[in-house]
This record gives sequence, structure tokens and C-alpha cells, in this order.
Amino acid sequence: MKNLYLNNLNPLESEIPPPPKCNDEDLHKPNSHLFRKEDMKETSTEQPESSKKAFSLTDIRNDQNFDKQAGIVHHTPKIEVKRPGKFTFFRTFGPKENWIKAKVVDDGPGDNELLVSNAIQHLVEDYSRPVLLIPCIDRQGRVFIWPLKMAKEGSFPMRWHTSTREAAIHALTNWTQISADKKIKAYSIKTAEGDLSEPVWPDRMDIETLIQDAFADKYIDSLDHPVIQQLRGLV
Amino acid sequence: MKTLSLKAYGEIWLVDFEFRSPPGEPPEVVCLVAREYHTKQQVRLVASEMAALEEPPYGLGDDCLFVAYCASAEFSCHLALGWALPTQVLDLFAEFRVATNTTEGHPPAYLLDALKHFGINHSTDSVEKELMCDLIMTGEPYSDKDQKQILDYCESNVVALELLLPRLMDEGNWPQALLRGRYMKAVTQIERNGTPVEAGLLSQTLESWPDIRSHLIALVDTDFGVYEGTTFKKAAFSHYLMKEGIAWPQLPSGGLDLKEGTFADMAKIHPQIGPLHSLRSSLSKLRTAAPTIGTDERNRFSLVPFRSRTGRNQPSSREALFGYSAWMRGFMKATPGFALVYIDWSQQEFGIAAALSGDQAMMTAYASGDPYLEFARQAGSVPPEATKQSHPDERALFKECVLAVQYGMGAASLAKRIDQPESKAAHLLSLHRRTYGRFWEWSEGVLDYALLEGKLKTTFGWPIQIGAKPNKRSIQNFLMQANGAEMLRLACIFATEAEIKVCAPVHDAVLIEASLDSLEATITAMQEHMAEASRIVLNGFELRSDAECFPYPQRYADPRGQTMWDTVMTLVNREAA
Repeated sequence: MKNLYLNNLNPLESEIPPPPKCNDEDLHKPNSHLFRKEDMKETSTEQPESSKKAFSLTDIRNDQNFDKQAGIVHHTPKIEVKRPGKFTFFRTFGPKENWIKAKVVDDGPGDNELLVSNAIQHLVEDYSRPVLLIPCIDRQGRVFIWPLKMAKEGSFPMRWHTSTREAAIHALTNWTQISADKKIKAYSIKTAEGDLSEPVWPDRMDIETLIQDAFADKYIDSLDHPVIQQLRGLV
Repeated sequence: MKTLSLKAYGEIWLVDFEFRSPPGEPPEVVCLVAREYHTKQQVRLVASEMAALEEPPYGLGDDCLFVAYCASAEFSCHLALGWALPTQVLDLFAEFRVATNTTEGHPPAYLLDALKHFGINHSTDSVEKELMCDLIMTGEPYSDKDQKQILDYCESNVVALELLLPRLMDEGNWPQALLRGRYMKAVTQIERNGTPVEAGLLSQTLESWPDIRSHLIALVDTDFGVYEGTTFKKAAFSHYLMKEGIAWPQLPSGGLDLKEGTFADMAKIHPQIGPLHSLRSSLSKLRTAAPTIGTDERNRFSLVPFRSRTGRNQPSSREALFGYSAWMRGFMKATPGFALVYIDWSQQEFGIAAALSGDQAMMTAYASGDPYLEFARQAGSVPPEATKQSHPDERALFKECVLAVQYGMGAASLAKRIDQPESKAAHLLSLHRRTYGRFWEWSEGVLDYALLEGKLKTTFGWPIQIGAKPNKRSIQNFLMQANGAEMLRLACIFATEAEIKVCAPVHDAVLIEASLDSLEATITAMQEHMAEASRIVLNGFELRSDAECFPYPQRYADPRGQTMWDTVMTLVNREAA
């Protein structure tokens, strides 16, 4: 304060008392040394705790994670059940020990497998076949379930079976493409040549939930299921 | 700190100066009124009284808050009077911009507009303001009556500040507001520094302009054949484009889009258009304007901070040499013993997007030093051992793809830009989505948030309110642009406080002037300030910068304008001879 100037230059205001003086507490208010770069450095730890915490630029920085703040729940499209297309580069989700052995019934040709509940598996042995349910993702980030064909119990696995399993394991760490090669009676495995980015899996990859979602309307838990009835010649 | 309030300060000084400001020159101070907010103590000083003071009649320390509207004007008076700048600054202009910044329209931001916005009745109106400005501009000596009138007018502005302060800062974020105030001090230093120019040559060129104009058109038009005399012929230009096989953007009416921005964009894709773009831009601008140069041969202009939606400076493109065609930057030239240095952040927008979204692949690409080539590698389009030399075409395509994403382009626009089928452009964009999935997830989250909450805010609180007709691309790009502005502000603050002579901030760069004796050390220091600014804004992620040095007697040279510069100088010299 330069009251000298105030008094000299503006006598009309001279009766007004000077502004209150700062007390010791004020001196420690967090408006001193505001936003100094030094506050960012480790040497600032020598300052009083209140000052150090209050003044750093990092403390007043707003998060930019608006995608988290938005609180939007994206309803993912229904998970498809299919084998990887012959032009699709895909990755599998591990570890392979978590892949689920199951039995499916085919409802016509193509990717039309229906999952059979454990409770009735022994009742539909004649119509079902064993599969390994494997979560996969393609380059577009679409997750799907691959019902990898397995040899029936007691049967010797064919090259078709073993080569697809090899491909699934290979795809744990490589962008992989498979195509049927009738000459060698097996799938040929191709690895993407580029240094491709790693897949971005959904935040919560719970295999059981994925399978429940994928087979929600493709699930057989009773002999009364229309597909079983059809296969048994009851309808 | 967010609870900091007006009560936290022992003194709060509301300050307004009146001054005359000849173009390119420091201000001539006319009067000052300052009022203390708590006690209502007031100081009214005229120029002669201020000249007798070595320091201002109010405190400048940590416990005193300096409040003004567009404080850089007040600080320019401080510097003109040889007074120090205050420590704690609150600029109500910046805070009014914060309160009203929106995606729609361009809200006025004068002091009277702020008062009107809050429904505050005030004695001054725009007519009176204009009259007072005219009176002030007449210059000294003022009659006693005029002097009193000017002081009263100045005081009315202080009263306006007093009324505005509690309205604007009631719920404001003080620490971030004070950071903006701190930037206004940097602005003042930069505006005061200005950019050294070869004023004689500039003046000679401007004087010769009417005479060399037609020669220049004839020379440049040799390669185009689009002028008839001094008239640009659209039909001839259309014919040229067809001959060259250049797809040119069209207006909804079907005519060619000949806007300055379109020409600038197209000159980037088709460099052969560059000279024609420079010519058109110069012909249009130099007809009515000239950069503001002070008697000390420095280009000075108001930076107009916080004026754009993204919070960037928005100086007059007529006053600032950087606002003219690239060739005119050749008039910038350091004084003997000094160098001009242009330092820009490398691929700033890409780096900001990578860091804010937390996309690891994108951050890896930035860290590689050549994000465009690394993107091509990550997408599997070039082998790991590819280099800029071995795969120039692929790199160029992926660069265009990155830029297209930054500009929010779709496949059709990118296809035009790269002169390739739309399917190729769509494939490139899909590669970006695949490779940088986390970035896209974040970017879409930003849009969701903006549409739900109706606002977005940068790291240091520069906001935008989302209007009724939001533009998806602008919203998604806002955080890159506005955080880039935050970064530049921090770098300018650090640099000016370290007494580096910043001549001008330029979008993602700064132009500094350094003594040849300490050139290397100054460049290193400036680059470190820029790196630190990036780390602060990007939560630890550091952006690189590149420096280009122009020591005296070398002039500033922008490669985009070199041909035009050479042509103009040939004509100017011929005219002089």
C-alpha cells in the first residue's frame, strides 16, 4: 500500500481507513507463489504441505477422460457364433485352459449351432457333436465365439480338427487367417505379415457371459426343444 | 484452492488505464483509476502524475489481487511507465469469455457486453464510449474539463469491474482463472517485444505495390493463364484445373470454391497451386491493409488472447505479418547480433490426441519420431524395416489419413485430398480405426459427454458450451485444439518469466529472438519450456519440438513463399532501378 499517494493525490479519500493488514494466517493462504513452475519439481517438497499441494499446476489440471465421465453404457451388439471367415484375420482370447468344451446341435447347414445344456447332453448324444468354444476378435474389433469342431469321444482326431486347434493356439499371439486346404485335408494357417497393433478386447472379458450372450436364443435345455423334436422325427 | 475467494486477498485492486496507442507503438498513457474493492479507496492519476512515480499506487505482491478487463492493455501501460507487473492477476475479459464461450455464434466480449450479459445497469453506453475514445485519441494537452471527463470515464470502467467481479467469480475456478491472468502478463511482454522487420524494404515494397502488381500477375500467371489483365477468370481457372487433372472443391451452387481457406488447403495438396494462392491472397490483402510497424522497426499488434472458441489468440490478420501470405514473412529479420528462431511442436495435434486418449499404439507412433510411417507399419501396410526413403508414397498416404482424421474428414473428402478412389480413402480411415481403437473410443466418449452435459473443458478449464446445432467434428476436435492452446499459453508464460524474448506465438509454435552469444542455450531453454508445458497438459507425456534458426543477416524464410518472395523482390528492385 502506498498511502502516501492516496493521501496526496486524492484528499477526499484520506478519511477512509487503509485496508486491513494481513495477519500471519493470511500470509500462509494458498495464494502466494501460485502456479510457480518450481512447484512442479521435487525440490518443492521442502515447502509447507498446504502450500505444496495447493499450488501445483498438476493439482488444478482437469481430467480429460470424458469417455469415462460420460457414464454411457454401450450395448454391445449380439455376439455372433461363427468360424473365422477365410479372409478374416483374427485373434483368440486366452488362456486356452479357459476355453469351454461343450456340445452343440446343428440346426441346418452353416453357422447354426445350438448349445446343449449339460443336463441333457447324454440324451442327445446321437444328434450333437463336441466343440471348443473360443472367444475371438477380428481386425474391426468385433468379438465372436468360434465353436471349434472336436473329434467325437473315442474317435481319432482328423487333421481338420488338429489343424484348427493349432490355428486357435497360434492366434493367441498372432493375427491369423485360416483356409481349408482339401489337398492336405487340413486348414492352412497364415500369419499377418505386418507389425499389426494388438487387439483391443472389451473391458470385461468374461467367457461365460460372452457364451451366454452368444447362445441366448440358441440354447437347448429340454427334449421338447423344436430342433430336437424335429431331429427325432416327432414333428 | 477451488474455494479461494475474494476474501482471501488483503487488497483487491480494480484497475483501468486510458491510453493512446499508435499502430505498432507502445501506448502513450493518459490516465489511471484504481479502486480497492474492500475499502473503496480510489486513486485517480493523470499522465504527468504517473510519470513521477517509480511504482504503481497499489500493491503488486502475493496478497494483492490485480483485477482488470483485458489486463494486457493495463500491463502495457505499466511497462510504458517502467512499473513492474503484479503477481496475482484476474482478467475479467478472460473470465467473461470462459462464462460465455459457445459453439454457436461469436458472442461479443467488450466490457459493455459483459455488463449487459449480467443485466447490470451502467452509466456508460457505447455512444459515450466512442466519444470518449475520440477525445482520448486527440492527444495531450487536454483541457481541465476534458481531463476530468476522461478520468470520470475511466472511473466508470472501474465501477463496471467492481460490479462484474462478484458476478463472474462467484462460482469460478480461481486457480485456473489466475493462471489465465498470469498468461496476460506473458501476452503483454510478447506484444511489447514485437517482431523485428526490415521496415525499409517492407515500406518500399508496399509503396511499389500498385506499380508492380500487374507485372507480378503477369509473371505468376505465366504458369496458369487464369488472369485477363488484373482480373482473375474463373472459366480460365476451371480450364487449368481440367488440364492439370486437379479435383477442386465446389460450392453448393456447383461453382468452384475460391475462398482463401480452400486455396490454402488445395495448395498444400497440390504445391503447384502455391504461387497462385500467394498471389491472390496478397492482391486481396495488400489492397487495403499493411502490417503495423513501430518506429523501432518492429511489428507490434494485439494478440487478442482467448478470443477464439478454442481459447487461442486471434490477432488481426491485417496487423500481424504472420497473418499475411507466407512470402511476406521474408520481411522478418533479426537485428545485428541476434537471431530469430521459429520453434514448433512436432505433430502437436497427433501427440495430444495420443496422450489424452491414452492410446498406447498412438503414443508409440508419436514416440517413434515419424508417426505417419509408424502408423503405416502398425497397420501392416509397410514392412517393419520401411523408411521415409523406401516408402515415401505410403507414408504420404498415411500422413494424409492422420490429417484427415484430425480435420474430421470423411472418405469422400480424403479421397479428393489424396486424389484416389473413395474406396481407398475409406480403407485408410478404417485402418486408423483399427490401429487406434482406444483413441476412437475416447473420441466418441468425448462426443457423448459433450452432447449429454452440454459442455467440455480443457485441462486448465477453457470451456465450450454446446449449442443447439452441434457440429460433431468440431466437438471431437475441440480438446485437441483447445489443449494445444493451453500448452502454448503455458510455454509463453514459462518463457517470458525466464526472460526469453518471445516475439509471437503462432498456433503451435513460437517465434523468439535470441542473442547470437547465447543462441544455443536460449533455444535449448525454450524447447525445454515447451516440453514442460506439454508434460503438464498431457499428464507426463512429452511432445518434441523443432527449431529453425535465422541469424542476422539472414531473413526469415518460409519455403512455401520462397518463389513468390524472389519474384516480388526482383520486381521491387527493378522498380527502384
